[in-house]
Amino acid sequence: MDILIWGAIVRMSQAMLAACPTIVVGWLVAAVFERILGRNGTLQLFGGHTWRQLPQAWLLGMLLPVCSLGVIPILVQMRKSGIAGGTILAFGLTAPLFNPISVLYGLTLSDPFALFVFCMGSLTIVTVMGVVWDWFFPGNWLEPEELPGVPYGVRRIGAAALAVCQQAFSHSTLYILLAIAGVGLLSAILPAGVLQRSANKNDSLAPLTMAGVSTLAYVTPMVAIVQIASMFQHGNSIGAAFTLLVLGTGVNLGLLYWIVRNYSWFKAVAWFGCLLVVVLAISYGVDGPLFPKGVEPADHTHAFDNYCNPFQAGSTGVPADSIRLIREAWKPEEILSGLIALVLLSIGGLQWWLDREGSWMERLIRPPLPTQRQSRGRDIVLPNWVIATVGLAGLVFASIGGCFLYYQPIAEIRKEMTANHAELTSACAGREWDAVDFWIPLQEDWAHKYTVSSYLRGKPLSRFQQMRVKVFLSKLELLEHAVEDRELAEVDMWKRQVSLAFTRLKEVMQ
Amino acid sequence: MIHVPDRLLLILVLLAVMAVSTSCNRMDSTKGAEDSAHSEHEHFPAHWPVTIFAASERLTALGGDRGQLDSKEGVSFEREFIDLIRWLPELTADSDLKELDFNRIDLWSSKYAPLFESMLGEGGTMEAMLAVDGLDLAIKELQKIVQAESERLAAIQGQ
Repeated sequence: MDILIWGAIVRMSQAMLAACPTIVVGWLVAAVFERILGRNGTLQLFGGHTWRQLPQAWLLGMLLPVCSLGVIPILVQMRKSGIAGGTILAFGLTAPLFNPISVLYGLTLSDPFALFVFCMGSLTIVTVMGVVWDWFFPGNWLEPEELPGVPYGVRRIGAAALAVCQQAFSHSTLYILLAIAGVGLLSAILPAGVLQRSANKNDSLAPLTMAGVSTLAYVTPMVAIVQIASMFQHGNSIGAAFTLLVLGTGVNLGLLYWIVRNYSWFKAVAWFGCLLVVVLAISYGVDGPLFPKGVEPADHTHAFDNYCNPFQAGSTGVPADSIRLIREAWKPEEILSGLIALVLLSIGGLQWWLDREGSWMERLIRPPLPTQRQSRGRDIVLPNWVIATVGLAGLVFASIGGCFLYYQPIAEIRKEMTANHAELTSACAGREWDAVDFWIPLQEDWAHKYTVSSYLRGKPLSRFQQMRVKVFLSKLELLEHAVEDRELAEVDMWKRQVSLAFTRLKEVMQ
Repeated sequence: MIHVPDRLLLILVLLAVMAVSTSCNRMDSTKGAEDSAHSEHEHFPAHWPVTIFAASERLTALGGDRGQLDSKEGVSFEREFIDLIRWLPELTADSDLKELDFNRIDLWSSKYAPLFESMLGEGGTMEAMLAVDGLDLAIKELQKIVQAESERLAAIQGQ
């Protein structure tokens, strides 16, 4: 029982930490929609009720850096703005699948044509689902509620800031928590490592299995793209990879329940059933044709270990290990956004507690007196649509700019990898298995960062460099397996091989 | 507030999701434990040559008199020949050979591997593959590159 409970706590904490940055972005976008863009502006942004609504929802979804949890508060605002159900769900599905960072990462890791097909596949799904939904359930939008305009100046900033806090302390957060609970439930159902052989190339049930698992799973866009690239590199089932992308990244328990509450059980089940059929049809369609040439299919993968319980049956010291695993998942940007989320949540909660009538917001949005307006004299009054556009475009550009911070210059990466390599070899020599388990994925991550950083800085890797990276990654993986099996002679052999491959990789890192 | 039928439906949906996942992935946790003994053979096929030196030697042998050769774990000579050519770039990158040599070997690999693959798909024989223009020269050049590298390594070891 300890294993089930602690395993679920570990997975839920990891998911929560990973989701923090994109949840905060989701609250921010929802607040911009509500207080800056307004109901009518939001409706126009998504193409009104014209034929443009679906492609526009797809495009906006591709650009905004949110995940399947962060998208929920945005969906709430879209619904209140009178946008059609098909468009809302199209956006809800696409926004978490891709964003500028993940597409960039994906382009350097997998076959660009495959990524293009995956993008087009998602567009097809979104369009089909949107058209089917609006066809069967016409006029399924609410009349946009009337919102008072927000005066310009400091009060507009204040109203938007308060709206972010209100978003944090709203029903959307309950749906987010339900989605996180789904992650815990999944880890309780799946024993450790049980999915290692569930996405093999020759397993015709692989996409179906993935459909079952990924609905409850929570995958960030970045993790999804890394996992999909890894599936391509290891020759796993491409159909399963596509299913993982759409259902794992796009759907979760919270989103499904939101659809139920806002539409109906019947509509939700019909939508999800239709989605499953379309996704599986495309998955089985692309499984063969997109399989990468020249790749030896691996007989197992560790890509999905994170969806399962982290502890093997009979493990001891589970509570201490759980705390260690959660601490290892901490990344500075996630901690920072987690703290921001907590502050927003607290202020939102405080406001709800002290101001049930909503007078704080009322005061902020009350039109200023004529004398106050005159006193602003030479201030330039920016219309709300300008601020909204700058805000949303800023998010997109910030995510692109963030790439350059995340993927550091090659010299820095080289330095980091050298230091990590020393730690890794020392851990292997000292038989410190936990430390080895920590350093290997870190080195793999840096090797991927090297690829992306070179691409970002306009110096894509040559075939020779690519092959050196491939050899290094493959040796790291073999060392990982030797460590898993506690085969000391093999550990020593692969440690030497990793060192050799790393020396060769460093020679070409420039 | 969820009404009773809603709760029932919620449970049904969850059960359906679980049923799909449990029935399809053959959840046998003991299987995972039994199969956990990873070895190199799980990652590389039986005819994986390990080094560029072994690959070059085997390619030369396959290009010559195959009467004395044994096939590796039932892999046909044609299949092995194509795979060896395909793996050459990776094996070269896993050696101390320089980029210039790599580029030449990579060029041969990208030229011949897809060609032989399609020939094999159309029922082509080993003889037909060996008769392709330039292959003989490529194998000899590879031999020379590998030979020079062996001598270089031997000289380093002798110092």
